[in-house]
Parts: sequence; structure tokens; C-alpha cells
Amino acid sequence: MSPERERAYAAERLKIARAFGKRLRTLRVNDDHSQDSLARATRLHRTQISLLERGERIPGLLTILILTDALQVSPNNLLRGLPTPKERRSLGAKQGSPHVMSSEKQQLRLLGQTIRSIREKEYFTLPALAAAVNIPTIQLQAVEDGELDPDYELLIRLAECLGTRPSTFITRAEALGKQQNI
Amino acid sequence: MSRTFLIPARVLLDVREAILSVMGDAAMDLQEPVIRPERERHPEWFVESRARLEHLWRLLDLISWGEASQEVDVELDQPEYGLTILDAATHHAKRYKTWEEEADATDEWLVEEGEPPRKAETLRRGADLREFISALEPVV
Repeated sequence: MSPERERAYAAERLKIARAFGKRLRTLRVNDDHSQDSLARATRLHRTQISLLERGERIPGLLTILILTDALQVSPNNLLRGLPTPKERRSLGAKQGSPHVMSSEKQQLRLLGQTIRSIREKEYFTLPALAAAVNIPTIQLQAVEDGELDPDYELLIRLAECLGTRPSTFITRAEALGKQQNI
Repeated sequence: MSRTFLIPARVLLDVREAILSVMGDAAMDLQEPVIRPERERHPEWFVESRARLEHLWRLLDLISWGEASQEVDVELDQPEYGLTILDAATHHAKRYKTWEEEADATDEWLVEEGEPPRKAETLRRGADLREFISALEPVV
């Protein structure tokens, strides 16, 4: 898999994990469960329920079945609306019409490029920086690819690890945009 | 300046849970290349995750895996493990926010199930963890 497709696939995995987490939380709350009580009802660790709801874990088949049993919903219901990871399809199936990138996406892409550039300058690998700010590698990859909008708290942690300030990310991304006539 | 820091026995259970959660991140990263074609030609795909997993494994060996009936204070090397513990504990403390908010609902469910309530324990552990993080931050 090319690095570009690998990054796109990582971003898709993160989207799927987050969509699943949101769905799980909705069904749990509807069923009057706390994270703790659902954990006890399923004999999963409560930390695992928290991680799933925050989109920081992709559940396995058994976990899905255990959750559907406890929440008394069908697997179809729990997985409803989740996107299919298209990046794993064959190249032929993936080809589509080119599209124009929105301004917001362009800004996210520039911010991601800036973070990647500073990270590489500071000799951080992607997994090492992800570990340092305590997020999954796929999440940081999605941020660097402009697929995910990092919250300010994450920007602060990234800045601390990279020895800079959050505002530097923004100003450098703006400068990069000017260079690229965006 | 001391090169070590102390994890008090009272927060060891939560520090262990925090480390195990981070270990899950490393395991997930390791799992991804395992299912790819041509994985055998790319040992480099596994290097970072393996190193991270081994680092966390050593850490759990040092703080113990929770098999003892009584937790004891643990002293650790600060340059080697300080940041790992601080980051993991900080993320774990965020999970406590939800557990504390939902503590009454949890207790209602526990009572229905004939189990003892645990709100007081959840609040105490959350507070202890935050206190530990506050003490560790200036050292790391």
C-alpha cells in the first residue's frame, strides 16, 4: 500500500472508530447504563468502554456481539451508519471523479502539513510523537493528513512535545498557504 | 535532583489501568500491519509498536501486574518512565470525569444487582489520581 493510501486508510479507521463510539454511547445512554454498569454487565473493563466511546479502539467481533447482547440490540443496529473503509478496495474500484477541496479542508491540510514538517525537523517518528502525546498513531496520522481537526488541547500537547507554541502551528500553516497560493 | 519518583500504593491500581490502556494503543498499532499483504517483507512496520509495547511491558513488570494482595509504593526511574506514567495517568484521569458524573447511576444499577455501591471509592480514586498527577507534573 502506498504511503498516501496508508494514511487515507488510517484516517478512515479513525472515522469508523469514532462513529462506532458515538453510536455505542447513544445506545448505552438510551439503555440507562453508565459506562461502569455496562462494563460490569458485559464483563468488559470499564476503561475499554471508555476507549470505545472515545473512538480510541476498534472493537473486535466478540466485543460487538457482547455489547449487542448487553444492550439488547442487533449488531446491525449497533453498526448502523458506519462508513465502509473504501481505501481497502482495489485501485480500479477507488477511481472516481476529481473533486475540489473546500476551504476548511485546505486549512486542515495545511495545519497537518505544518505539524508533520515540525515533527520531522525535531526527529520524531509518527508513532513516537503519538505515544508522547498519548493518542493512537492513526489519530495523529489523520491530523497530519488534514482528515481530522485537532482540538486545542491536543495542539498544546503537540506544541509542548515539539518545543514550540500552538500559535506557531497556525502562523506557519498560514504562511504555507500563502506559498501555495491558497 | 532526584532521578526517581514515587508511585504511592493508593494510586497504583489506576496507574496500572492507565498503562494497560496505553498498551492497548501499541497493540492496536501492531495489529494493523499483521493483516496487510507483504507484511513479511516489511519488518520495519513492526519496529515502533514493538518497542513501545516492550517499554510498557517492562514498566508493568516493575510496578507489578496487580497479582499481590497488598499494593506497595513503587519507586521508578524518572527519565525512563516519568513521561509515560504522566501521560497515561493524565488520560486515565479524563475517564474518571465520566465515571464520577455517572457514579450515582452506576450505584443504582449495582444495588439492583445486589452489589455494594462504589461511588465513594470512585470519587476517592479519581481525587487520588489527580493529586498524584499534580505532584508528578513538576518533576517530569
